[in-house]
Formats: sequence, C-alpha cells, structure tokens
Amino acid sequence: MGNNTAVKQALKANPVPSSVDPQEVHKWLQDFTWDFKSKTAKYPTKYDMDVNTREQFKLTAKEYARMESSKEERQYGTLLDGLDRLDAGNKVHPKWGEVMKLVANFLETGEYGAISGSALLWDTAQSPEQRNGYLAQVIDEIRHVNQTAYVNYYYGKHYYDPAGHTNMRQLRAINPLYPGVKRAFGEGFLAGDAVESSINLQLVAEACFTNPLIVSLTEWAAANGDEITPTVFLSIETDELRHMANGYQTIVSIMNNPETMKYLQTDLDNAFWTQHKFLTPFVGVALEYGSKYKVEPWVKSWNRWVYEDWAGIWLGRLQQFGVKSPKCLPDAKKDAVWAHHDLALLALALWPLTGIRMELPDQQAMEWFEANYPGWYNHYGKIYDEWRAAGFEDPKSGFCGALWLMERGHGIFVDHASGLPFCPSLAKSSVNARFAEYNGKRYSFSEPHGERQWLLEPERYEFQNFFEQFEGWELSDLVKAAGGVRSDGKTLMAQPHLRDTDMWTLDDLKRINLTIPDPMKILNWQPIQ
Amino acid sequence: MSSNVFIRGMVDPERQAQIQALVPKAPLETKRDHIPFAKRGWRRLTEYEAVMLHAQNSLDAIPGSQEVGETVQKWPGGRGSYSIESTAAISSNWFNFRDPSKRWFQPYVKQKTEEGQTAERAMKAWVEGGDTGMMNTAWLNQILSKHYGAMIFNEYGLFSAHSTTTYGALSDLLKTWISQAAFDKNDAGQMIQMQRVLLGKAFPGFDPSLVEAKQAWTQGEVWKPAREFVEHIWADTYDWVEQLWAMHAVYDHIFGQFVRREFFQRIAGLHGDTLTPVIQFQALTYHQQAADGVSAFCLKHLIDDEPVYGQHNRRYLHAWTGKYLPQVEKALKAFLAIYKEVPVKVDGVTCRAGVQAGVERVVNGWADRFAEPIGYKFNRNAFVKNVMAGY
Repeated sequence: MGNNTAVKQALKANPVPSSVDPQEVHKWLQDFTWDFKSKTAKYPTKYDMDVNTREQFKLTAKEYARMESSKEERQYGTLLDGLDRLDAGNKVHPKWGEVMKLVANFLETGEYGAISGSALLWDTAQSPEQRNGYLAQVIDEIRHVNQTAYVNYYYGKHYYDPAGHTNMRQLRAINPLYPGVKRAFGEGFLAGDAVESSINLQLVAEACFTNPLIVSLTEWAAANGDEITPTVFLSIETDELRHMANGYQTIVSIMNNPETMKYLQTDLDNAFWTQHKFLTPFVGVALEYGSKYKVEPWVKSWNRWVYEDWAGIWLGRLQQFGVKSPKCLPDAKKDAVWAHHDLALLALALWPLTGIRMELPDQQAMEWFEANYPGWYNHYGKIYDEWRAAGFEDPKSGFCGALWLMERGHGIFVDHASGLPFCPSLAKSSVNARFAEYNGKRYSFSEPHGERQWLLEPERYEFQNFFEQFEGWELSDLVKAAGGVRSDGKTLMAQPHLRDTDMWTLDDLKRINLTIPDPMKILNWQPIQ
Repeated sequence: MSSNVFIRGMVDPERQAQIQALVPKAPLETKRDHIPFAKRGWRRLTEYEAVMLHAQNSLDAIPGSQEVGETVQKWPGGRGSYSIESTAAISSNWFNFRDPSKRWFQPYVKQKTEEGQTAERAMKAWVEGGDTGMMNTAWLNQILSKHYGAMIFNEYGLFSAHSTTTYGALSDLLKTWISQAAFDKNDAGQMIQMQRVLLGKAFPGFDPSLVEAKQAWTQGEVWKPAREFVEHIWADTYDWVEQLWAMHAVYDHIFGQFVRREFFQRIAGLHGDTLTPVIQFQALTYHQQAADGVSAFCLKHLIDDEPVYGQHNRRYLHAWTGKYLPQVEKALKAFLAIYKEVPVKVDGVTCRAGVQAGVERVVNGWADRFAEPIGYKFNRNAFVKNVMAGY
C-alpha cells in the first residue's frame, strides 16, 4: 500500500472535522420529508411507490453541479476552442451534415419530453432520495436540450449550409416523420401514469435505445468527419447511466405490492413497442442513409444493443420481479432488418417536406445495402434506379416519388398508433395493415401491437394526422408556409441531391402539381395490392 | 464496431479529400441566425434563449407555440399534456417569457459549483480559524439544532411543490427557470444540513439528526402556520401560476426573507455564529433570482407586456395575494415567538423596536415589489401590528 493510499484511507476513517463530504449530507435526505393529511401526488400512479426506496447515485445539489460543470467546460471548450480552429463544421460529409439537421432536432424533442416526464416522477414518488434523483434528471434533461440544440446551433454557425439547422423547429411542423417523434418522445415520456412514463423514458428509451442512438451514432458521425456530434452526444451519455438507474429504482420502488405489479408487463410491452416503432426505423435511416462511410449494418448494432444487451442482460436483472421480454420482441427483430429501409423509401418520396438535402443511394451504397441486406436491391434498389432515370434529382423533371407511388396504387398511410407513415403494399418489415372506423372517422394501423393500444384507449391517440391536417394544400405552398425556402425567397431548403447546382425552387416544386390528398379517402381506405 | 480499423473521417486524408470535393466554394445559405422565425420578445435573444426557445413540442392551442396540430399521445381519458387549462392565467404568447438572470445550464452549474467551493472554504476556515470557540452554546443547542433544522423542511416542501409547476409550465424558457428555482430550494435545504453536519463534528454534543427539528416543524407553534402554507402549496394547489406567485412573490418574499435575512443572518453574529450568514447568503441569492423571475413572469409578462389579458391576470394575482397574505401574516406572527428563545438580547436588534423594524423592512419591500404593481391595497401598519403581536 502506497503512502498516498494510506493517507486517503486514514482521512476517510477519520475525516478532517473542518470539511463535510457530500455523502454525509445525502445520508440524511430520507429524513427531509414529513407526513401530513393531504400529502399525495397530484399525478398519482396506479402502482404503489415505496417511500423508503433509495437512490443509487446519491448526489447532493452542489456535488451534482460540480460534476456537471466540469463536463460542460470540457464540452464547450472542445467545441469553441478545439473544433473551431479545425474548421470542424466544414470537415463533415454533406450527407451526414444534412441528416444531423433532423437527428439533433428530433433528439431535442425527446430530451424536452424527458424534462416533464422526470418532473412527473418527482411529483409522484414519495421517497426523498428518489425525488432528489428525479430532480437531477429534470436538470440533466434541460442540459440535454441545450446540448442537442447546440449541435444544430453550432452547425448553423459553421457548416456551409445552415438552412435547416437554424430553423428545424419551424420546418418540423410539416415533416411527416415528426409525429412519430412526438408520440414516442414528446408524449410517451410524459402523458400518462408516472411509472408508465418512467418505463417509456428510463427503462426502454434510455436503458435500451440510448446505446444504439447515442453511442453508435457517434461512431458513424466520426467516420463521416463529424467530431461535433461525438463531443456533445458522448457527454450526454455520461448522464444516461444515472437515468437508467432511476428507471431501475422506479421498478424497485413498486415491487413490494404484487397487486399493482401485475400491470408492469403490459406497460413494458407497450412502452417497448412505442419506442421501437419510432427509434428502430429512424435511427437506421439516419445511420445508413445519412452516411457516406458505413460502420456496421444497423441490424447488427440493434441485435447487440437491443436484443442481447437490453432484452437479455438488462431485463434479466428484472426477472426477479417477474419481468419477461416483451411479447412483441420477435416482430421488433424483424423490423430491425427492414423497417428503416421502408421508412427511407417514404422519406425520399416525401423529400420536399423534410427540410434537408438528401440523395438516392449511389452505386457504392446500393452494393453495401445488398451485401448486408440480401434482397434489398430487388425490393428497393430497383425503385431507386427507376426514380433516378425518371429525373428524381432534376428540378425540371416534375418528378416526385410520392406521386410515383400513388400512381401505382401504393398508398401512403399514417399509422395512427405510432404517428409514422407506412406503405402497406411495399413494406418488408412487420407491417400488417389494419383499418378501422370509430365514431365516424377512419383510422389506419401498420400492425396489431399499436392497434391494440388504440383499441383499449382510443381517446389517448385522438389527433389529426399529416394528411388530415394538410389535405388540399398544394405542395409548394405548404413548404413555403412552413419556412422551407432559403433567403433568396425561391430556392428550397430541402433538395433531392447534394450539389450546389440545379437546386430546386418553389417553381420546380409547383411543377410537380401535387396537392396533398387524404389516402383514406382516395383509396377508400383499402390499399391496392 | 465491426471493422478492425476505425477511420475518423475528419483526419483521414482520403476521406477528407472526398469530402472537400463536395464542399461548395460559397455557403449555400448566408443567413445563420438561429430560430430566425422567433419573436424577439422584450429584448434581443441571448445565445441561450436562441438555443432553448421553441424547443418545446406542444400544440397550437398554446399561444405562441410553433407547432401545427396537437399532441399525439394523451393521458388516459384524453387530456393532453401542456394544457392551457393548467392555470387560470392567460397569455397571448407563453413563449415571450425571458429569465432576467439569463441562467442556462452551463452558467447555472458553474455558479453553483463556485458557491459550493466558497462554502467549503468558509467552513474550513471557520473551524480551523477557531471561530467555533465564539459560538454561544444556547444558540447552538436551541436555535441551530431545532429551528435552523426546521428550516430544512420549509425549503424541502417548497422544492417539492415545484414538481408540478415544472410539469405544468407552458413554455421552454419558463420550465428552465422554474426547475432551476426548484433545484435552488433543494440545495438550500441540503446546505443547512451540511452546516449542521459540520456543527456535529465541531461540537461533540451537537446532534445533526433531524429528530428535534422535525418535531419543531410538525408540532411546534413557531412553525405551524408556515408548515400549513407549505403543505397547502405542495399538495393542495393545482394551478401552477398560483403556486409560483404564492411561493416566491408572497410567502418567500415576506416570511422567507424575514427568517433568512432578518433573523438567522442578522442575529447569528450576535451569538458568535459567523458561519450561518455565509450559508444563508446563498439562499438569499437564490430567492433574489426567483423573485426576479416571478416578477418578470407575473408582472411583466402576464400584465405589463400582455396586450389582451393583462387585466384578467392582474385580477387573479390580486385574488391569490388576498388568499395567501393572511396565512403569511400568521406564519410570521407565529415565528416571532422564536425571539423568546434567543439567548443574547441586544437593544435595537432583538428588542421589540428592532424586530418591528425588521418586519417593516420586509413588508415594505414586498409591498413595493409585488403589491403595488398589481394594485393590491392593504394596511401595512395593521399587518405589522398583527405580526408583532406574536413577539
């Protein structure tokens, strides 16, 4: 034993009486509360949260601030000192620089939803230690909103195409993919029973999906020249461990009451499916279609992080509480192979509404897709080749993938449970379309798991989807109204290629002559096979 | 990762050559202002506000929201999150609020870290410099052990009440300010306990446990009306603007300021206690920032700058003030009984005139800051007289 260690141990055993270790304060936290007649949560849970539950990380407010301040200094120092000098904003492959317009903003929505979700838990939990932990998460989530937004902000200041980075909060209003984020992140984290929110936020989104979303994504970012995103996202990830622990402690806090524990499996199944329905396809699209340089197939990352690590090891820890893997896991596993390809097809078909510049997979990408997803070319690649030949990139062509699909009877619907668009006749994922009528309104669903959630509580998913909102709008008018035009007043922010020539304008978009339809009406809500 | 050799695109010559070939000679867009669509509000957006403003995905029913449409998932029964029904106050643009302290996450934690380091150094110097020897034993055992400990519950209860104000707040910059005010309350309680733990080390007979303090808080007459207020605001008040106004603009600006500033901070020194004022300085700063925030929110945003509903909001703030002021008066009156337990009596400070001067400072400060702007009339002399009946 070295002298230094001996001194440290001696000080630990007999601390200098002029100092107070934060843990000496934290150990009294459970005594900070008291009982009174009206003391109940304003947002009560159907579960029974134990007032004696402890929290694992045991941070006091000052200790939390010290830790976070240090991380902030490192992060902003790297961004504003190191990366500025390296002109990092212009070292990024444009495919990646574009997709980050969406990724940073969509993740920001999740972080924002998590502020309220954690506040909900802070209200509902009665244990002071748990409240302290949930409060720290509220503040963390504010940090993460600042951080994810700062990625867009930084790109907006330094990248050669700031359009979309600066105003995605405006553009997302017409993005057909955005309601999917709102369902999973925006409201799945905060609209409902606090424990249900915890399961969505901490047990599934954070414990299951932040590894593939935040960690894998940083590898892809770095491979594509982006050192901005890893600097920020890996700093975010350092907080996520505490959030996962919060989720675990939520479960620990309810385990003593078997009467209420009976709800847990259903809530877990629903939460997993809710988060998976957005995250699995969206992250896959971002990584594989938003990159030039590939790291590994999304399906492999998914299997490692979601199937093996989370469903196997993480949920294994909860077996003692009777928790099993979600019943929908096999369908999710199938989606991990194909759902992102299905969504990419629709994103490319609807490119004017995304606010970013994107391009069809080139020859090199098509070969990679076929090598890693055998059968990809015959299903998707042929369509992309046909689109390319028809003038997908050419502003004078009047071509639009969405019209191409509709003219061939491939209806695009909105899954009323996940909020995401789907095309039943072209999907290779676990799509099993269903249509229903309720209170005189027609609804479409991409599969039975989401439909079941809606059937049980239809009032929770009552909203106007993209087609209902914008039916009758001419496409260029809609894009203009949403702020999707550059400062010259005519060139679109979104583009179907990455060049600085032949950029599409409002007039080119008008030439497509597309008025937003409601496919539930024009196809009489039956897809053409 | 799947490949044996991971290539970073930024520093790999081959990849950079390919990337640079795609970078145009001139930027594709020259406008780099962040969220250029956002309304400026009453001053130019700070960098932080540009980063945070309109991050909230809400619904177009919330005035000022950027969203088109509504929330996609709702509560059982169909109620949406971010509901304007969560408060009786009305705003033409909930996104126009700006925190005068301009605290976003980075400066917030930096400031708190510095405060923590300052407190640590002060405590170390206080013990090692021999200041402990000057401490009045009765002050230590009676006031700091019992009543200073009871203050923890006051801060903790107010912290707890912020959970639903954070949840209910209708815009991003509001949520940030409110959750920071909550974190400060949590911190203020913990710092008192940190001091009490140190006292337990410095004075072998001092018990840092909270048994006696909790008894004073839950059963003692000195804290009873204060506790009743805190319990009501925490568990029984559902309107989040009402909560914020009642806590920061009424209760804490009168009762809290008196307890922290006029009592603990100013009386401690008379008893050789030079540490309590150092710790309470932080809590005073936190209150000042919260008061600035609630003033900017309720007085400026909801009344002065509100083009349509200012009068409506003024009526509600007026009514809430009338609802809570009597309880605050009771709380302060009951608290003054603590002077009977103060060991060292000093003319001009702990005597009736001295205490009354302190009450008047607080009440006048409150009236000028929060009552006058909403046209709330009350008899200051009668208020002070009623409070002083508790002395």
